[in-house]
Amino acid sequence: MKLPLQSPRSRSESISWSIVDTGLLDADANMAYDHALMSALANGQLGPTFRFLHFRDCALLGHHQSPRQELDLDFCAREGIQVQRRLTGGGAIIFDPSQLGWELLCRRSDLPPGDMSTLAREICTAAALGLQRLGVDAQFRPRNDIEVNGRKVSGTGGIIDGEVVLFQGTVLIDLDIPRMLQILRVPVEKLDAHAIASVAERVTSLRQLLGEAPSKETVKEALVSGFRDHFGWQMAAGELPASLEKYYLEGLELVRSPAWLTLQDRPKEEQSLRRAIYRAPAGTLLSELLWDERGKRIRQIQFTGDFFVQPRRAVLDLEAALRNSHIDDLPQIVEQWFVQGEVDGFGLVPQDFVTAVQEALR
Amino acid sequence: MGTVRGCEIPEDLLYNVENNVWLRKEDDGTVTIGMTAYACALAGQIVSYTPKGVGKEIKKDKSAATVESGKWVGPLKSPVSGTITAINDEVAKDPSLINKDPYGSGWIAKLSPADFAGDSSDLKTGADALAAFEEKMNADGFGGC
Repeated sequence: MKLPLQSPRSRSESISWSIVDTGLLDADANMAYDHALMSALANGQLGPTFRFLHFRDCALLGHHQSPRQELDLDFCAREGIQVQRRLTGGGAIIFDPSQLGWELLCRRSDLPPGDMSTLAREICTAAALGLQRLGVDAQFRPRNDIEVNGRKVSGTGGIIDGEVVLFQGTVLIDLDIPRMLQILRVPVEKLDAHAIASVAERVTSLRQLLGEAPSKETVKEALVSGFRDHFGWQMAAGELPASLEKYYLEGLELVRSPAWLTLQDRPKEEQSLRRAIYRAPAGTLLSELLWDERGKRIRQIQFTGDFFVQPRRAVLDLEAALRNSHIDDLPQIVEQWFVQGEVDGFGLVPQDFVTAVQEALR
Repeated sequence: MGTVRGCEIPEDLLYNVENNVWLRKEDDGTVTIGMTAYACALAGQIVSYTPKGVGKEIKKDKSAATVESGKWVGPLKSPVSGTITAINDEVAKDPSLINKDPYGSGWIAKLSPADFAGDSSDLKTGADALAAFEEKMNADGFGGC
């Protein structure tokens, strides 16, 4: 697709944004706020708004995900972990009071032109710039992640409803990996040292990167400075309008209804854990994936084993590129990764990764 | 077949250009709705499709389904009010059909319209639709399909 080369600042420099922080809330209240803010924007009762979110213990599903496929619902019930569905896309995440959420709400015309991937790249680049101010080498990684040396430190997702845009992300200030593995279904067989090490190679936190967890206020200031500098926006503390209450109550009713959580409700068996060990001439690959049998898609995947590739982060990039991909696109995605990433497989070739996946799906 | 900036825009369909949706009036009085090729180009490969259920009443310009691509969710807004009579099981199995054949096998929903004559009066077709899409693509800063 041909897209015009324009500065992200080209049509947004004069826009004023209100920064709001809605404080520590339950997941349903935060989702109701999202509904309310989008409704207020659609009806001309709200201008561009940058909101910080804080959650009590919860698990948040992406808009189109099935609770039974993504979460250990029995564990959530036992531990009092609220389960909610986001308005935005992407995968399931956990939230607790140590994490910080951020989101922007505006009209499409308040943001740079371009398609959805361009928009995500611009917003994530701004957030990454902010995190860089904390002293970490945060970068945008397609499609919608922010990572440091290949390890994810922030995930994002969005919704566009007509002219109204909501795009939101997390910042992993601290992370309890064993707890995450108890709540979320990830492509590992059981919660053991291998699983924890495997996740630790793919996800990180500001505490791990900096040696100590920065305060939320510090992270908030850094994020705002990133958005301000990348887009040239004027951003200042603001307040939410009183007219929001009506929409908020509507939102609460929506997200508390059983139909909201079961909007997608497919059985766990349709998304199975598959694994295979493939002994290629130049190394041994272990592929582990969550396989969407119905849609023939790789939902999540990881490659471990006894092999070498350079650059070291290349395997993590391949895993990110394969997330949610259709099995028919597998050879093309692997080939593209190998060529564009200038990957040196020390004898491993793209077909070895393809075979490792195909073996797991036999 | 009409084309705007490389995007197919069939001139015999009706469009709500702002919402980027098409509508076809069928011989049995129902309507079929779907995403335009332009909407597909903006979205990228679609990986999820959640339609409202058969029998559900949808108001004009309200969501009849949601789709997802690259972590972006987008509601597909029905150009007319009506009751959903069919959803697309093939698209449910493989949502990328919407990208591959947006005006054919990638249709989003079929509805029995409540007031087709009244609701369809503001929809565009033919050369008017092509001109409106050109204007929208210009405003969106869209380079082409």
